[in-house]
Amino acid sequence: MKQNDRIDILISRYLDGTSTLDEERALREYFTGDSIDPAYAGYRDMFRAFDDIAIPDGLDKRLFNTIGRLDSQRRSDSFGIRRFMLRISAIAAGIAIVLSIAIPSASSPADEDVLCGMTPEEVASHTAMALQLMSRTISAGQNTATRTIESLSADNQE
Amino acid sequence: MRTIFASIAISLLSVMSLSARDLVEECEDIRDVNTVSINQSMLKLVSFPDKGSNPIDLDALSSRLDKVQIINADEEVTSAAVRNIVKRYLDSQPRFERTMKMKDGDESIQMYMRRHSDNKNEFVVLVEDAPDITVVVLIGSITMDELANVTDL
Repeated sequence: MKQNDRIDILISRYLDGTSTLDEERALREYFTGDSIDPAYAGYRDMFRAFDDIAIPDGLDKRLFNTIGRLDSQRRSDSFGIRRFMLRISAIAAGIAIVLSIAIPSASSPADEDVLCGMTPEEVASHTAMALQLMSRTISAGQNTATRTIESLSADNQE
Repeated sequence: MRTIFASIAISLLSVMSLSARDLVEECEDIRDVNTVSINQSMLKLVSFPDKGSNPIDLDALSSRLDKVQIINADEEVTSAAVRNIVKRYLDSQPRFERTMKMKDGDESIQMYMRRHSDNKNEFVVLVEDAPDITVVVLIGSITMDELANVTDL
């Protein structure tokens, strides 16, 4: 399969929302490379804008397992391993608590920035729109369900 | 030394996972995507005009909202990007339940809900009418019945 055909298929799957993470990764690698077909220039900026900063799945578990395995090679008794894990957990919990308190307080916005450039009227307007959309969605769903039930009941009576 | 390194690494991972980006933060870097994020502090500064037609007190309702977010895109490529981000967000968060899915002509509407550990509810509505997509997120101590009773504002 030619590369362009493969890229076409991947882009199509991406736009349909059926692409896998590996396929999206392949698209990102292609569009951050140097040899991009000019036909795909329109997609280049979009894929380059994605910045995957998520923590890899299972990293903390793998790290923990590796630490445990390395330590078990030095200590042979299970009591020693348990004591080691308890010591790590206690220190980690203490540091996490300190960081959890320190980081949010360091990033608290000043009072004058709380509206982030919006007027109170704009905040109210956007909130009202959001509430209205939610309300209409729920009502539309309830009405559709009611109409369907009534239709089925009428069919059963005939 | 190994103990200290392991402790610091694990504690940093714990804190980083707590500060995961929300939907607006994931989408706001995409060109031509419009985002609005309203938090509790902003909501405390606004009041709704009393039109008398609503059966519930909107000022009291908004005071129980923690976050209101709106995301909108109106081009095929950017709408697809938003759709994929929302899909990954819903799949990655535990206990999200799809409460509604409707299709009316070319417009499709999906609604999701989950309960947070502090007993607050999160509602996500996804409205697609190609090439437009609109996502609304509400988080707070509100119920679906209260939302259903909000009439025209």
